[in-house]
Amino acid sequence: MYNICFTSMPILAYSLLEQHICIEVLLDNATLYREIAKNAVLRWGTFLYWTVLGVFHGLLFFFGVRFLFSNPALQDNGQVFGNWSYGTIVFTVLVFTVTLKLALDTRHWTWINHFVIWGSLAFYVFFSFFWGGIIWPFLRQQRLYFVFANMLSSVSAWLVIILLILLSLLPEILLVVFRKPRGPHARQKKMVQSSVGGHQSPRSSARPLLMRTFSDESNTVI
Amino acid sequence: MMASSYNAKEEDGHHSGASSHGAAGAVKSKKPDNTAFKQQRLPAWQPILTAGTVLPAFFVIGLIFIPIGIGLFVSSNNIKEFQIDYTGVDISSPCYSCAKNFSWNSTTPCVCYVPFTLNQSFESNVFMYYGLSNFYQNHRRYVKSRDDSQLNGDRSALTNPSKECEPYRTSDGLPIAPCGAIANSLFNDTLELYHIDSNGTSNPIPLAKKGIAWWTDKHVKFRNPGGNNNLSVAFHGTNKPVNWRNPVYELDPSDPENNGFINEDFIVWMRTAALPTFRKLYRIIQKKPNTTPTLPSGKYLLTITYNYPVLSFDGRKRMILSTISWMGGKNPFLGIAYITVGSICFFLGVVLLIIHHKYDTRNNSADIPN
Repeated sequence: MYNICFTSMPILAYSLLEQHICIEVLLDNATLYREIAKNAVLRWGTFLYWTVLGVFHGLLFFFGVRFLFSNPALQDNGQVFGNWSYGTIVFTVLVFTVTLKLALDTRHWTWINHFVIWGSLAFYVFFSFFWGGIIWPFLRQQRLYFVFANMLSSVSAWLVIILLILLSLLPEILLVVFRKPRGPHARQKKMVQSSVGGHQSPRSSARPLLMRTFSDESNTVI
Repeated sequence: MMASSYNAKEEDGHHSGASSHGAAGAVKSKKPDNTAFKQQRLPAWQPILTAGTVLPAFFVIGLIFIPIGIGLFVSSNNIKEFQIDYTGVDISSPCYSCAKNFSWNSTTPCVCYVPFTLNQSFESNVFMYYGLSNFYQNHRRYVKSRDDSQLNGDRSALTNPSKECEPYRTSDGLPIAPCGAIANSLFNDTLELYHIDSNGTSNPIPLAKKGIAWWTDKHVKFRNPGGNNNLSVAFHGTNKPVNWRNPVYELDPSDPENNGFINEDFIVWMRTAALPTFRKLYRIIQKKPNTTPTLPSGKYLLTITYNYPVLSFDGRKRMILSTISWMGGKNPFLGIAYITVGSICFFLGVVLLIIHHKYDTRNNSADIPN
């Protein structure tokens, strides 16, 4: 369910449609292709970064909700949440974080990207309401009946979801701001020389890339 | 032979294999169609995530989160909570003899009295919880051990419970209603509260037992088989769970809306807790109509009918009195977390602003020779 329905379409659209560097720049500087030749992207550094990030996210989600549940009376009528509400909060944070991380990584937003990313999130919410809204006739277990809707009725649950999503995307945003262009000044000089023609008039209806200091061309790797 | 039956139209998807129609194009072209999608020329928006765009976001987040965190922290600090452990581990505690002399088939209930003092008075609705420690209601085999269709009033499931309930599925040849390990371990201590005023008289405090379970649980998920009346007839042919003293239709004979499967204490117990140290809502003390505090400060007496043995697995039982605010019960974690994250974001914003400023001026001066 998670892999097929909630998170498969965004990554598919990303892999097909993403353009970190616009077409004109690539045509002028074909040597940029060397950066990805021979699986150069699959390096230990990248792998370790993603692994550590995954571990960080996992710990954050689980222990964030665990500390919230040290007092499980999270509703304003004094009633208590159970383990299915715990899992639903963790899972909601997970789905939103994964999709929003991909949204942060996407540099080339076509209508298809918008559709699959926001559509996946909307589908998750819709599906959770739908699944938890009915007593399924032929199932012996009705574990998630009304769990999602009840979770959304608690202010504390909303606040912890927003907090955890933001906290887990914080390293991502920091990296975007801190990232320096790769390969010391070589590409910078190339960018400067070709900038007169190439940058300022992309054919796609995109705004021109402005600054070269904290530029995001370096997003090709990581 | 590079004949290309190539269509220069923007949106056209097919070039018909003109090869089949003779004349020039004998080889179908491998060139992709000249559509916006296939030539990767879809109109797109390219966000510019530079320091200039992201820095204001840091400040905004910091400025939003810190007040929320302060609000949460203050709100949590204003919640009054009182806990008292009544397991009876020490020889000096009132329930020590009840705990030590517990036996499964004793007919007379053991009662113990725990006095305590409230230093502050509790206003508005006061919620009474029972708390258990070292009780793993989130164990996987335990959580699966129930039959929701039986609890929904399905007659066929009543007489033929799910296999997940094993080994609490049948007893003495009859199916158990309600089946499963969760139902079998129902918490059955009775707690009563008395206020001891200045004269020494103890006044019982009215405890409301309605409204403690989720509304959807009580009215949709849990249903008695065959309606709420004549439960002993409806449950004929089933047996009570092994560790219960009374069958399920005697959970609250005085109130048919709270008897059988729809008994609210039972429903609250069946909602398995997330952590090994948990609390469950037991009773509600309604607020008084005038401005008198619901529980004035002073001496109180907790009367416990000690039916639930926890010492065998080193568990602990406690009673909790708590007021509730818009964010729920007393938990400073969320307030502290919001203040921390807000401050970090704000601090990072300031740091990045300084770095960006220095780097920007340095780079500008380097660009000049170009």
